[in-house]
Amino acid sequence: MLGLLAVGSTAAALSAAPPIHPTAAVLTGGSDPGVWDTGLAAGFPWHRVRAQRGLRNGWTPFVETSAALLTRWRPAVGVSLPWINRVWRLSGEATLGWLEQGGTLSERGPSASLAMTMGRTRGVVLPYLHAGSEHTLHIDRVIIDTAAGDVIEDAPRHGWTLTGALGLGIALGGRWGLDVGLDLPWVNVPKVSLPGVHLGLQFGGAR
Amino acid sequence: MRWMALVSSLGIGCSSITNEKRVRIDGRIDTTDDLPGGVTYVSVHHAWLGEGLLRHPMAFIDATTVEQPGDLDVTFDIPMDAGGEGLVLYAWHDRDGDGVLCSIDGDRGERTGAVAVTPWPTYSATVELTLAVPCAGPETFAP
Amino acid sequence: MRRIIPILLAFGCAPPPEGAPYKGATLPVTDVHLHTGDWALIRGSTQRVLAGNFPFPFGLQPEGLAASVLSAEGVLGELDDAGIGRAGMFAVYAPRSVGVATNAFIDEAARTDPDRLIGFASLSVDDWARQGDAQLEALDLALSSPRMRGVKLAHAHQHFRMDDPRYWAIYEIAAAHAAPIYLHTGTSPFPGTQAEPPYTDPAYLEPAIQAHPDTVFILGHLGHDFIRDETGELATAVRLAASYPNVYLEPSALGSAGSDPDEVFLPEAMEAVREGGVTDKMIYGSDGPQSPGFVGRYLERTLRAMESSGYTIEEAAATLDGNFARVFGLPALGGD
Repeated sequence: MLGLLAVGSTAAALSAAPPIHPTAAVLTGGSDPGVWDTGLAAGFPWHRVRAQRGLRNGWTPFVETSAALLTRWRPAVGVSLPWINRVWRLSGEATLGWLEQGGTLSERGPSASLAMTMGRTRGVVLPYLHAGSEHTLHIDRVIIDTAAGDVIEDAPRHGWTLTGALGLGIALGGRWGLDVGLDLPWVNVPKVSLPGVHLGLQFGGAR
Repeated sequence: MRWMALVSSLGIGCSSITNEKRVRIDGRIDTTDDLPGGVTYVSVHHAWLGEGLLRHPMAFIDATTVEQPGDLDVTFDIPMDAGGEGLVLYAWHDRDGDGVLCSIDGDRGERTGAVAVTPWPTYSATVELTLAVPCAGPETFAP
Repeated sequence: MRRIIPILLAFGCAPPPEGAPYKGATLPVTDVHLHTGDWALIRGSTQRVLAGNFPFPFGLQPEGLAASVLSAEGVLGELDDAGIGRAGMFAVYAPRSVGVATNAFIDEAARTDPDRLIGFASLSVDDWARQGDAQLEALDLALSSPRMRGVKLAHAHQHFRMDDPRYWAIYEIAAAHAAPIYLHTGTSPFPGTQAEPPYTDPAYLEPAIQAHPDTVFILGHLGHDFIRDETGELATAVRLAASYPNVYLEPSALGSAGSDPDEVFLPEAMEAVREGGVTDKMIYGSDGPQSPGFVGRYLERTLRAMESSGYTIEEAAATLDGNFARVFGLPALGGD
């Protein structure tokens, strides 16, 4: 950790003015036009990988994959857009993805989410907050073999997960950063979920 | 669109897929007692289900009622994924109409019986079943 | 995760078993009703129910949590955390519903701490016509172990009628070993159980109770209806306990946060037992461990229920340990 901090001795600021630091871009949404930023986070129970590239007017498409205990996977594509981009950053983002959960409680289906992220970009430390709502369509199918042919009965179900996180990002120079955070999801409301923790690494700035 | 229909038909996007077989069972249920009338409760069971220590007979699948002993014509959807072996039809005649087989305060002579549905698996089968054993739950008819 | 949880349990800040605080006194506690077992021998549909009840993310990989909580070491950890001195651990032969925990498994688990873990043997009643004699012999053998002091039956889970005399030889073997029989009464929320009255209503046991005066019957769950979330056959259970010297009561599970979120059923049951004049017939049990902390939380709920029902310290002490010790012929905890 100290070594990584030493890398950041040049102490690039997280200022929202271009160039947007990769840590600010990944954690609070929105990269500079034409710039790639990536993030990687590992923790319990969640792991995440994300890559994004800024377009004009702040629109930033991204791809990401999250996994809980490497059992509940959700790859997704999405787009984020900063609404406020000053010392305080506030962004909205939407994703379309696929939920694939193995194990005893296996389930799968298409999912979509809406989320907001906000953070304060001053100095080298970035406190951030994420809140979102993710919806998955599950279809339980029964295939009945009858004398007249197969009869298919589909029973759709709605799975609802509230996503949340809060943490601190730290710039380590102009192209690297890391964050530590609490993951506060409520998976499959109203069932009980425990919070998680993660350590993340961000890298970017490449065109 | 064609590939989406194919994916859908294969069930690739489904959270779970259960395979069942629809069987129509007809025939006749009679009772050895002299008090016909009322409802006869009919249920179907895997003859055996499970492996090792979890293996057990007469695994319940589904139930229905028919009006009284006599002609039988019922249809059940039988789960086919769990590895159940054989199919047994069990029935009891609710002579006192209280909905409980040989209830503690009711008729203690209500008749029961079971018959194997053969051959299995099949789309249709005909059975002849005579209810002759008093107060016996389905578990007592392990094949 | 499988390795982490026992470590957490081992290094937790658990106090040694000191008993339960009640009206200024500290009362020793025996929990007659705990489970252990092997996740692989739990029926698939029940695995999904259990995993679905685990808080996220533990339900994703429930084997690890189950192995930790259900192991003998895990059970002892739960007892330590709750201040409970000893517990009954049940063998289960219920392949139609919750699965199987064999007599050998329970005997081995009880060996971990035989003073604190009291084994209850059971037997399979499936295919009784062909296997009944062999199963009775196996039960007889299991009860010859000094660690197996009771018998566990669950008619609703095992699918045999409470009034079917073909199974009465079980009660005779139990009496021969002076092993009280714990019976699940009332319906069960688990898939694959029988919900019909002959399998759940303790009134159907009355002929067996009358025919076996030397056999002790402990009516588990007080006949609670877990399917309809109703009191169920509480009145019948209390009546049987008041009518027959060989009938005892046990209040597990019906007062859990899931079954009794507003803490209505357990106080009602405690009050009914007290009004029925059978507090000397009540033997405390929780039906844990279920999930980490459940055993302690159930004890806390029971203490509140007894207090709100006006139990004296003596009645609470009898419920929590004294009645168990008397019925099972064991020294009372904290006694001479």
